[in-house]
Amino acid sequence: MIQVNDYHKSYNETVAVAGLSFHVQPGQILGLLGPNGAGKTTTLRAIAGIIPPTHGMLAVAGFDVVKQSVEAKRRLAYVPDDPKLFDALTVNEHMEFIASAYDVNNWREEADKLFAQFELTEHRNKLAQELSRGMRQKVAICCAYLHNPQAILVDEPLTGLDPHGIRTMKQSVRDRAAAGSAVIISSHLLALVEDLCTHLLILHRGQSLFFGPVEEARTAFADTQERSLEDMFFKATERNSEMTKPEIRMTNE
Amino acid sequence: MNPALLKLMRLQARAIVRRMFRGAKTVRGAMFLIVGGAMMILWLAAMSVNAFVMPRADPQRVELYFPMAMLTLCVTTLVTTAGERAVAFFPAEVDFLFPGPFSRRELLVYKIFRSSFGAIFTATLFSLVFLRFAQHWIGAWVGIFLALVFIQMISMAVVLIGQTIGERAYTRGRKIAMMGVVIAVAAIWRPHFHAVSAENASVMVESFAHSAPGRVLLAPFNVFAQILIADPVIAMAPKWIAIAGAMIAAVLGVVLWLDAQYMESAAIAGQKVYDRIQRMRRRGGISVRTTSTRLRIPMLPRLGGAGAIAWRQIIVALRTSRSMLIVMMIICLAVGPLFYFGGLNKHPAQLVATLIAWVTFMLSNTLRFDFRGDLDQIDTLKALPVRRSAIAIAELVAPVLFLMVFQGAILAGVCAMLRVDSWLIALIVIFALPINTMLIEVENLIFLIFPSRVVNVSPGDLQGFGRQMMVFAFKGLVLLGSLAIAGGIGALVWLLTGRAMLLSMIVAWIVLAIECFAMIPTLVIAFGKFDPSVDTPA
Repeated sequence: MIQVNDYHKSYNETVAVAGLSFHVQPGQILGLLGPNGAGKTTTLRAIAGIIPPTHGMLAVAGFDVVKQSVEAKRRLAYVPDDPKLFDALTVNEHMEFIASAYDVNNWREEADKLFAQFELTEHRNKLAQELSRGMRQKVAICCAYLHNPQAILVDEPLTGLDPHGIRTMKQSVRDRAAAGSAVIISSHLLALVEDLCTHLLILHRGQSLFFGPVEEARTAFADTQERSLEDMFFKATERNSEMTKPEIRMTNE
Repeated sequence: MNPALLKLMRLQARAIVRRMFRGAKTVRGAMFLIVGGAMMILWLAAMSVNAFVMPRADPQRVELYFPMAMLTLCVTTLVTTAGERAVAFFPAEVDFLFPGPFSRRELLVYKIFRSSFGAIFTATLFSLVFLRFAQHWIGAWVGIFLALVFIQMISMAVVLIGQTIGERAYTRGRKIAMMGVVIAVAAIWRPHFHAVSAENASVMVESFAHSAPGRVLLAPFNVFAQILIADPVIAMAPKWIAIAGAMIAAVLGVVLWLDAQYMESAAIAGQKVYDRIQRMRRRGGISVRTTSTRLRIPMLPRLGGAGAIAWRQIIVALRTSRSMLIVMMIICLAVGPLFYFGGLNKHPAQLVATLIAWVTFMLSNTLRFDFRGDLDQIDTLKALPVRRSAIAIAELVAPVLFLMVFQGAILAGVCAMLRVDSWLIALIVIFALPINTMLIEVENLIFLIFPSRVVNVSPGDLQGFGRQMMVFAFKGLVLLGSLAIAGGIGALVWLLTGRAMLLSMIVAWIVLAIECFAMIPTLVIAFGKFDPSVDTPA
């Protein structure tokens, strides 16, 4: 569903991402891990078609995000870290716009369900600028889910959410994946990734250190199956920091 | 245009109207709206009446100067960062539209439509303001509207060409083109450089307009001037409107044909604009990005906590607004020489008094390094183990200090070029402190009672406009009242003591100082009553 082949992104002399390749199948939830500046958000923004790749091919549902961008984006939803809403529009008007953009019929019924699920029903007529950080996050998630996307990209999804919101968000991701969506979650919350994700992509300085199922990561980095994701993450990134050699890269290219 | 983007524009238009009337349900909001609306109508009516009462501008002069003004505006837009904004998308648009099912061309068309929508409002306003320079209002409106759209399209085309040929080549090309324009203009105007004055400035403009490069450069802009001066408008304007429309269509064609990969730079440019707006919302109209932490000033004495708060405001002002403060300082210093060379040197006392009064009044609204700039830090201020009175006094220090520095600069600039009576200089120096303090106190008092984020009143924001008008009126009234009391008591002392000028001045100063101190408890109460949970505007 999501295919990334030999993706490079550079800004003048600075290389943000170098030769990244991975894929996410329907029903899979990929956890994108890496320290600050590893290239996680750059990768998500490139898949979402916001920034063009310097080199490489990125596709959603078989459509190239550069050459067939509209078709790719029609099947995609992207929730950025700290989503910005249209300040002067109400929550309901955001949904109205998204429904029109993605040509969603009978959107009000679906919107009502999402509002109820994310406890936004009583805030639906509020202006975006009147909402708290967590509420804005919930609105962005509802907008992303409204058109039943086949590919979902979420950057730090739990920021600002209350415990109920966190539980709802996690469950919604599981449900969407179970329904056949391919999901990529970028987060620094290792517990969240461990809890939700079926696959891992560990990035460091724009390069892939590991891509594969979570179980494989345990085999690759952990001494025993009991080791936590936190242990694996530090082992992977610290080893790479010490020995920045190509052999460390363990992508399945 | 994509129907979803059309819907978004419709929703946003509805939101503008909603925003205009937002808050009008409260007494305060309704009051601001009525005052703002009334002032706006009065202003526009005065402009329109003025256009009919005053003789119309000579069409030949409009034909000469309007294209020149447009060319200047166009070049300025292209060589400054203003041009980059031609294809800037706000973060909300980046988050929702860029990953949305829209092609780059559709998003460009959306951007053009949005800009044109803004141009409708600007053209309506400008057509009334500059009605005297046109033959008919409709000609003025159409001419200005098309001119604005044309400049927008040209900027957009240049930015997209830049994206196509690459950033570095674009920057280099832009610099070379700019150098070429400067050399061409200098070559044409060289014979007139020996004696610059208002009279031969017009000769210079004429010689440039009639030169071969001038004719080529000004030809596209001349079309819009012809719409302005068309008389009779029905018979003469359509031809020029058609030409203008064709020019815009041609540039639009180039823009859409280029189909450049603009999204990344548009997102960055939009983020910059958004960040600037956010900083201005927090700190006021002169705030810029914090550039350096090298600038330090020593910590002030604690003074019950007031020293630390005043120190923070001064250092924030210097770091966030340093370049703007320097520009303002240069302007203040240059006022004297400008007036001297401009021949306005006959009444220096009147000139310096008017200038300082005007600058003080305007800057007291702009230098927001006090409670107004601390709107998002009121929680922190309230949580500090410092007395409210100390906080209130400390918050006044930075703007009062900066006001005095600017007043000093104007005085220095004027005194360097013109002969100003020493008594006037002494008067300004002595009374600057209490008067500045009084003004900043009033500004802060109004802010704490009627908190608002409004910094730059945007077109159509009648409530913001009304608020500004009421703040100016209230400030003027309080200042006049305070000065009248101090002046009255001073005059009384002057009469009773057999015209002892020095003593009467001292008494007047003391009375003003007492008035300033008397206002502090009001400020303290207003700060105490400020509830960040309900009073902080969105």
